[in-house]
Amino acid sequence: MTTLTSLPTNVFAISSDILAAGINNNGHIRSTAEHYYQVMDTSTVWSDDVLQSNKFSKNSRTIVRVG
Amino acid sequence: MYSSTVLVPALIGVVSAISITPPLTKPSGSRVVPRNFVSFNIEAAFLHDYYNDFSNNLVRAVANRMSLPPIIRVGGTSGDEFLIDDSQSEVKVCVSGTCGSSSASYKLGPSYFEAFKGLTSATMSFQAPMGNPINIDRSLAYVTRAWNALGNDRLAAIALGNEPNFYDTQAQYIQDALTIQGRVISALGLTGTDATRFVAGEVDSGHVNTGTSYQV
Repeated sequence: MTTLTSLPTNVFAISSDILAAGINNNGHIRSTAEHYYQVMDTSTVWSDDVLQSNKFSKNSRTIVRVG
Repeated sequence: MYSSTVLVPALIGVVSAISITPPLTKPSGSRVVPRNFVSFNIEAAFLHDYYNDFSNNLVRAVANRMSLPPIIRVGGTSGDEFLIDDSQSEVKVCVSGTCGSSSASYKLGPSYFEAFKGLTSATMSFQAPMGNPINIDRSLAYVTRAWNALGNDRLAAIALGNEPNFYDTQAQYIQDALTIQGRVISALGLTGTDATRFVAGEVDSGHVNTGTSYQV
């Protein structure tokens, strides 16, 4: 596993960076955001059969995007 | 101080009463949670998979418990790479990449945009595709069709591309975002506050960790 110790220069560190870079000088941007990912374990296919059964386990994988 | 007694069901089914005394004013260090904070994201390529009664009822069940409609963000990696074919009968056809995932390019037919008429208890934001590089005509084609299907009243925001940390450079991202923003404003005839519905800079925190919840 590679640990990212610094961001490449072409990467925005945080959302406010693009505002600081002048993207909203015309005032048309209402908001920015950061996407937070919560990754859990592996998932089965979300079929009707699965949804209506007890096949869900604690090992399902779900990605939850917030913000 | 306001004091109230609430009934708390215990695990074994016994109900017990406890007394709570919430403060009447907001503590200085706290934030006001937006009334539409509980909102959802749908990967743009799979929007039509949620155009059904089950999804509509599910979102309505949530919306009924909120004082402001939730926002459905229709966007993501696939949302930057769309092609459109008005003669195509299929909702979408995968043309390259890892088909069935967000990391693919899909060609959309007119029926794709019908899905913006679903999830009727929510507002929606959609993404102006910015590709890499951007194709203005292709982006405008998606935005105008989505806007026409959704309607101005249900439009929460138009996102300028996806997560900017995946574009080549900051300068290029900003230039492309401002270009498509100007063209969208002109094409849709947006004026006044309608022209300030844009979202940009939705940074992927998989690459950052600022510790801040979000920024408005």
